[in-house]
Amino acid sequence: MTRDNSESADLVIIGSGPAGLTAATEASSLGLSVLLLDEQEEPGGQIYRGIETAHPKTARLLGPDYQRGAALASAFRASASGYRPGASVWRVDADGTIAYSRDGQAHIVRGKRILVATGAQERPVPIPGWTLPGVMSAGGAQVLLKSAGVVPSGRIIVAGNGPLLLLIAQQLITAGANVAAILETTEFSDYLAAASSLPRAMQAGDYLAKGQRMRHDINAAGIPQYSGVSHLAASGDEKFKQISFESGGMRHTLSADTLLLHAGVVPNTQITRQLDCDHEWVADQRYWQPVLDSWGTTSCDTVAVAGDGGSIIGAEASAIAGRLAALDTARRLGIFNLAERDQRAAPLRGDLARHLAIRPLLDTLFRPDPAFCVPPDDETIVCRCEEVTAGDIRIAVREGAMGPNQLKVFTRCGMGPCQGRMCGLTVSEIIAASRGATLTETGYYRIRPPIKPLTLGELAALDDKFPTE
Amino acid sequence: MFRRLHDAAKIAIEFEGRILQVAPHETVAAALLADGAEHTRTTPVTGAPRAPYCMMGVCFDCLMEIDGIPNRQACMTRVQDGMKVRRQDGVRRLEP
Amino acid sequence: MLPNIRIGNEVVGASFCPDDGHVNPLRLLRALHRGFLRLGGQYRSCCEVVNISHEYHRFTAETSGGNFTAPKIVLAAGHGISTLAPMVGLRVPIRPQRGQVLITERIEARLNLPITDVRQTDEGGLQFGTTEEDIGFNDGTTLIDTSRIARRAVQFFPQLASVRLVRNWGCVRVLTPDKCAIYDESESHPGAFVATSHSGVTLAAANAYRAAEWIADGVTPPDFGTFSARRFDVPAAA
Repeated sequence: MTRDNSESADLVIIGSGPAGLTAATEASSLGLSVLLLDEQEEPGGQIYRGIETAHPKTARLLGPDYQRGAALASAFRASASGYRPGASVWRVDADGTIAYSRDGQAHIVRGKRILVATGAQERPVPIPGWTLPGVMSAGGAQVLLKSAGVVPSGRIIVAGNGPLLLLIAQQLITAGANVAAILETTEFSDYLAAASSLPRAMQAGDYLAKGQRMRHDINAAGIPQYSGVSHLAASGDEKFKQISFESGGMRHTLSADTLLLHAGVVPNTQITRQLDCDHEWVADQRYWQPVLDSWGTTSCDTVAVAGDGGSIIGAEASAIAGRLAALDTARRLGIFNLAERDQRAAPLRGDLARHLAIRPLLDTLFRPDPAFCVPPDDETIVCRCEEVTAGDIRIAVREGAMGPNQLKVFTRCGMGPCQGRMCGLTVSEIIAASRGATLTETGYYRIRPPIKPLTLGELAALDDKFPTE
Repeated sequence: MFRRLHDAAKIAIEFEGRILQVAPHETVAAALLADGAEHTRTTPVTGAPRAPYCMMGVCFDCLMEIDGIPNRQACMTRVQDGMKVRRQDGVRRLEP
Repeated sequence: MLPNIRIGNEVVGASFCPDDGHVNPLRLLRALHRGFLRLGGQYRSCCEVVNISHEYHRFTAETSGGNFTAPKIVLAAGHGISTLAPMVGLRVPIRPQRGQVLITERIEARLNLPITDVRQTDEGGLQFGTTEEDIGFNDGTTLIDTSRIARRAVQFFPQLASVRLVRNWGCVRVLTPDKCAIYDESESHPGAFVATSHSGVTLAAANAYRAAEWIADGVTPPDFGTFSARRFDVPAAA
């Protein structure tokens, strides 16, 4: 591949999770020139992290859902698609220009079409003490397991909700880690409420069976489980020592070495936000998603999204969405017509519907806990970078900060290196709750480039690639 | 604190002047956690200790000084033989 | 004069003015809001003014959040002034001009003086800029301009090459034809004032003291008439 600014491709894909891998494989098999940029050093995204290098024992304990990623990665490797690992995309423009950095050098690539396959991130879990060393996101612990075969060594407490919470607990138990307790905010009533979604979910019976197996393994291990947990607070001096919470009308305090927090995953919208694409608030799951057509195209015609970055649909559905986006790209670039696109897509659409059948059940069962969305305790840090608390935000709202962008000016909330990724949702929720406004009225941060930090030196060197005035 | 499930081939990195044997291919953050590191930086605002949180490049809480370059994401940087890693203590310095 | 930072070889000279200074604009805005509320002011956001009526020496601002009446009204609404000024018989020629700015991560304190296009806030972040672009109300950014700003920053101070950029924004200035402030009272609607300047940060002290006294007490500072928009009525000499 060339290294100058003339580099281009029919389709540039950002992200190598299931959606990015299948899109790249499909699009290159259709004769399109494809370049896949990925921030990690190996394909797989977070869900299949380390899929090519994980120790066989680790892969076995992560189970068949994880191992499924190996086939996607090898199909991608066998395809004609270009691949640039370790490429951190920091700017995307609607004209198809993508700027990224790799090994300390900035580059520009142009795509006739761009597919954003940047997946999900975990929903922030702002509770008192969540910034203490010893507290980690449950997904972070899973990345450690997948990528390095590393597990917490002392007593572990897993807290929050969502299917991933139980999965991680199960995987840690299988790995021989000492899971001391599982604290779920989910209440028994949530299971009853979810029952109405069961008939549809039966179409995705394998998901239900997996859920049952997780429960069974956790029960068999004899791990104490608390449900309907509220008022979670981590504490410790300089590092995490204990967690206190309420459950069953009682206050509990448990000591441990590691606290793993999880409250579901949400679309990573940094790129579609930076592009100023239209986004909508999903009320039951309490997250923003880009507005997409059924092929993944955003309100910006040159850009599509596939996978969890568009809406949380899971790995297998994402793999299908990647192929659908590739088919539509081929149609747009004149490889075939609408009728052929639709004909090729028909079997994929059937599979997609089957995978999505489980979603209403999961969405009802694992609604994000209101206390995770709007932390009630004023002392809770919301912006981890700038150390802005929920109380600081509420004061700023009283003093006139009516939206997230004004709040930035008032408090520096969201202005640190993570560029709002860890506080954005919470900030919108707190402002909306304080004002009695809807989330749509309240809005979200205006995300500006660079969406990943790069050095001034890297940016300055790009200047050579533009014609001088 | 964390531990490794499997023994792997080892390379040497230096953390705060101490030599650690770590597995190749893993990230600096994973290597340090597996070695028992507690905090990996202090914040520039209040000096509070922090450790890696998300392990996927989102939270920027794992910023460290790696081979003399401050504020690098330890969870996004792979270990290399002879790498020198230090905690990022507060606000970054400017190189001479 | 800049003992804590190395100056690039391409820098051949500099100017210095002992009156130069800078203020953290975010802290200034918050302080002004807080001071205003503490003095008993009311701040109502989400109140887009749709009309201003004038009856019995009183102005009524009709807004999306209700009507507000007072004997005096001040237009300080940036580009919103273009819509509002004709409602009170004022002519305020302003135009948009985009400026792009780069913001870096926090670094230790190194710049003890503000410099043209480069300054360091008390929090440690560096701000670079800026461009002057006549492209309407587009407040986006461009790769070409931002890389040029970065190039210039590194030419000034080579040590900054390793400093990370965390944000890059564009903003639309409110510019008058001669780029100087306009302070004016309406002749047809006495009690209606306009105050606009680029920038409200630079001129915050003048606005808080001189302009405020002029509006509230009718104390016209010497030569204040110079700032009237009537200066633009005079045809330029051929």
